[in-house]
Amino acid sequence: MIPSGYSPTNSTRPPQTPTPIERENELPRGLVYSLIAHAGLVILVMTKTLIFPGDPKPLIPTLRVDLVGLPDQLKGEKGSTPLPISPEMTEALKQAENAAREIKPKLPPAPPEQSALTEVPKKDEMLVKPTLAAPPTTPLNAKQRQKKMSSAVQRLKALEGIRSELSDSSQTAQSKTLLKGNQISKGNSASGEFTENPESGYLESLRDRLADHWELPVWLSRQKLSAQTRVWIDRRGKLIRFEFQKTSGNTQFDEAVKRTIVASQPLPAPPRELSSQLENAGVLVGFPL
Amino acid sequence: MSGKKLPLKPVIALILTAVFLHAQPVQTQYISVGEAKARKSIIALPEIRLTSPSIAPSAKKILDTLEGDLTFTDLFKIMGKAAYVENTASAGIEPGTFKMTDWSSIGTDFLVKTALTLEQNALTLTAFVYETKTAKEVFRKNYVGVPADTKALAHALATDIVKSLTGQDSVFFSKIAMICDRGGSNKEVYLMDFDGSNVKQLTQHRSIVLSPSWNKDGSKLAYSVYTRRSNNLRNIDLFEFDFRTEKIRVLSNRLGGNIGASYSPVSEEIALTMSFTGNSEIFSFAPSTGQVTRLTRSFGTNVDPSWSPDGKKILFVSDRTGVPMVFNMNADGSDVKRLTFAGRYNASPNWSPKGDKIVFSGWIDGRFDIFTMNPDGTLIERLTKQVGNNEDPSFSPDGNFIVFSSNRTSQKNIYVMNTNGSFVRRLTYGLGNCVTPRWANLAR
Repeated sequence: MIPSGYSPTNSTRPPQTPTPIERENELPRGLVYSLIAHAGLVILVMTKTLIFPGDPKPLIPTLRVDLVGLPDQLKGEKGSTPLPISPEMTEALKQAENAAREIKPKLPPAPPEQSALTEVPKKDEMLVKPTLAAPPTTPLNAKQRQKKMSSAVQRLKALEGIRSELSDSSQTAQSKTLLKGNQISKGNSASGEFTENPESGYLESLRDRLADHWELPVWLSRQKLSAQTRVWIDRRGKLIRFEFQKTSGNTQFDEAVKRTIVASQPLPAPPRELSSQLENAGVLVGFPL
Repeated sequence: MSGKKLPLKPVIALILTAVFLHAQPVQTQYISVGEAKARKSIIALPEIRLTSPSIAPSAKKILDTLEGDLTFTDLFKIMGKAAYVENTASAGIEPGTFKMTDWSSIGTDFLVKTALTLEQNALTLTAFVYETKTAKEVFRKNYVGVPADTKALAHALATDIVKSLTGQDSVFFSKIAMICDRGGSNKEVYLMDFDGSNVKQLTQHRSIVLSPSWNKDGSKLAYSVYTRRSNNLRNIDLFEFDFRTEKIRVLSNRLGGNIGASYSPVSEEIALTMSFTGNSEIFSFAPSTGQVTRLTRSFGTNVDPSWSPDGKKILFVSDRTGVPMVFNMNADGSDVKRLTFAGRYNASPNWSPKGDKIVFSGWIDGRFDIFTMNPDGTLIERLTKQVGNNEDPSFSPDGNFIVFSSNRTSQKNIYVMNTNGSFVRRLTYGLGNCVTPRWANLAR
């Protein structure tokens, strides 16, 4: 229902849009303000970490778990069922087998007394069926045969080794994860530069040394406590000092952390790239994270 | 266009500065050591010093109880007597009267030195507890009791030891209620100490008693009984035993089932399953007024309510989605959430006292087994495997143990284990089939 006095043409309208000139002058200015504001924000975010350096975040691989049934393994139990080798694995195995077959040691030129007609098996080849014109077994041939046999045995051994290695590695990689009810999808692992670093080898060995001595009474291990210490290490691996960046709030736990660091001496000597850093800035150690 | 050109330079400069600053990140090397190895603390309990040889049996009982209590916690390992190097004839029990190195050198973490005296029919147990590595006295205390109750002295000392060393409450004075048939057809409520000793029959209904449940301070026990009405109609009524008055009263005899009671940890309310509406639904029952409030509304069966320790949530089991699964709802029945999606039959959920875990039994490989999960239904972990049916799990009041029933020896018996499924011990012997163990909240 349109009111009687209403007419779309003479009704009050919102102000007209600015003229093209006005628009041209205004828009860039707005853009500039926006850019300045954005740049200011970016600088603020970046300088913030310089002015107030926060706690470094450890990189922990993230995994997605899909639950399909109740877990059939006990808590803490490692996967014990043998796992099928994946198609990629079998492919790799096949390739390795072919490669092993193709490897041929350099042979001395064939003895001249053998005729061109007799087909002497190549040194690195298994004879499945005898050829038609088998040469009379000369003492030399017997020696060759023996060599051939031993090289074949060695080849088989090598193949067996590859096979077991493949199945081993596939098991250790997947056995922890491929459990019914706790199946792990492909997921992402945020390892990255941290673990690729050559220095990380040292940090890894330092971690292992500390972990060897890191033990708690049962009641403390059940609580979710954590502490962080900064540890200074000299170039020979001697502990200079350590201090708590974050205490757990439990004296028994903090005492256990102290005991662990002291008991882990001597610490592994750092590589040259890291030594000055460890001596001056130290390394942050999280118990447990 | 002049307005556009001029300010762009500083903007670019700002951006470049930002990029430059970003190119110099602050690097700190960081390593995380990971979870610690858990180690049982080694505690030495040398012989109790006696004033007269006549109290030697009491001393032995105290030492045995103390050793049993501390071993039960699975936190301590008792130092073997063969390893002792101390000269007992010359060494005392007070600080300075013996060499602490005699104990620290053999690997002891803690040392409990005790003496027992009998004066005017009162036993006094004097205890000194030391931390040997730091050679510090942890505490000293006298415990006085009548000779008839020597175990209480040991329980009291064990409670103090656990409290002072670990900061945790212990279960040494706590009771477990359960339903046993003692080989007959009647099932009655029985009580026992935390370690399976001191068994007593509580009820004499000469009927089938079900689902016992303690109130928040362990002063009352609710349970359901199969009853027969005057018109020969069978019903399941809800009863309550009051330990203060030693009296039994009927709480609810509404038509049908009044079963699976669970006391609220914060109020007097009881959540239970009632079927007077024709369908098994969860109700909230006020014992003082006898009034009920319906909490669930669904076509499926709703059973096994269990309150969260803060009294805000109630877990229950419902087959509304086809198979019995664990659900969670607010105490007023709102905000129903399904917690378990895995498995085919998940039953009898129970909250841990801290509220950080839920334990339940789930059907897997043709049997029931015990599982725990987070309160939001994530991280389901299996605790029992390939040892018969394991059902009715329930947390201990200190949250360190799970008590459950299992038919692993063909008969159903009560077992207790750590919350990670280790250190399983059988508690009941010779009581026939025992089911639905429930651990009381406080000492009685």
